[in-house]
Amino acid sequence: MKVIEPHIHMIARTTQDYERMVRMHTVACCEPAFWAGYDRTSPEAFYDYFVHISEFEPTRAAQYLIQHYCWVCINPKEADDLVLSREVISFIPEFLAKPTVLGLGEIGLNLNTRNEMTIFAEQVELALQHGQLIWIHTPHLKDKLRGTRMMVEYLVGHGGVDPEKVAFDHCEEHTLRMIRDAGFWAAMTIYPTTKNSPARVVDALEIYGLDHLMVDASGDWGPSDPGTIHDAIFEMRKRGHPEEDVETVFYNNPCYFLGQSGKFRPRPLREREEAWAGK
Amino acid sequence: MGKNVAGRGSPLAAEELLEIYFLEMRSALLETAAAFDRLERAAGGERVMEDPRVKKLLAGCELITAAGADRAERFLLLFSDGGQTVASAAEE
Ligand SMILES: [Zn+2]
Repeated sequence: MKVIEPHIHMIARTTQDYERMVRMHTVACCEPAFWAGYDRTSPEAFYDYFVHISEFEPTRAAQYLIQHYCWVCINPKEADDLVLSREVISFIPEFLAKPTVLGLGEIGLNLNTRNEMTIFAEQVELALQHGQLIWIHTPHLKDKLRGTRMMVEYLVGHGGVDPEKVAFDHCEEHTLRMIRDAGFWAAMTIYPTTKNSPARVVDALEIYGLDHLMVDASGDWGPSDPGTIHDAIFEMRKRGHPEEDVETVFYNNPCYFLGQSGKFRPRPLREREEAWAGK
Repeated sequence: MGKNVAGRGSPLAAEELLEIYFLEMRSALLETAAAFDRLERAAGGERVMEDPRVKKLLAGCELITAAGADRAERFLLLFSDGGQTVASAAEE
């Protein structure tokens, strides 16, 4: 079974992780732009970062036959600085034209401040102007509920946003329903101490069904592991789910969402209505 | 099939799930019990048991003993800052 990793920060990982991923049948991975673990000191640092994830990572991944895609944006952790953010936003269109850039992401909120919300809204507009997909980072821990609600309310109230083209990431039990009720895609990140676990991810699939849901491992510079998406695959099989359903969650669903960008090459193996109905 | 909102529920019956998860659940609760002991035994233990974070954890323990198949969601809500709207949150 082929696997797609919808959210991973390969810039922070060793080549050995690509090697492990290909052994576990990962055929494509997507890298949203995020915080580096420290604040960048200039817009140029973001420019170089975007070059890295849009040019260098695809070549590193290709050695392992993995297609590497990315998203660009000013991330929520550095978006409180309006001047810096706007300088970064000014050169984002140049990167949106590149062959492996899927859209704006991971935009969103961190501490749910007014400035973060302003920059979130400006990047949503940029995505709309350029007909791009949007990948959203929801805040951590105690801030997640409120931040998610702020963004859902904003996007629904906006009126011009097609929810099919927006994915919220790092969703958990208390945020899934509001995201799904509004018609957006939801991704669950396996990052055991602060986000989700394989067992809870499978719980959500049983409660909500397979539609509009994705799972990711979120390997980054913190304690994390690209192997955890494969732990979730094992968990879903162990819990007695049919193989076609496992394939829908870990391969077809990312294809349905990401394939809306003409640049994403993997193709789903079934029509989505049929896959989601479990026939 | 277990109760569910829109999904197809668990292919396994509750008894089978208990076989899979019993030891994991036992272990997670035991680790939590031992961690509370660790705090209480250490210098300042009595005081730390009054820390709002510890109180929240204890409230979480109580919550999981209550009936209703939405414990995980209620647990996360307990650990969340209130759900205000965009306008009111932007005032902070
Ligand atoms: Zn991320």
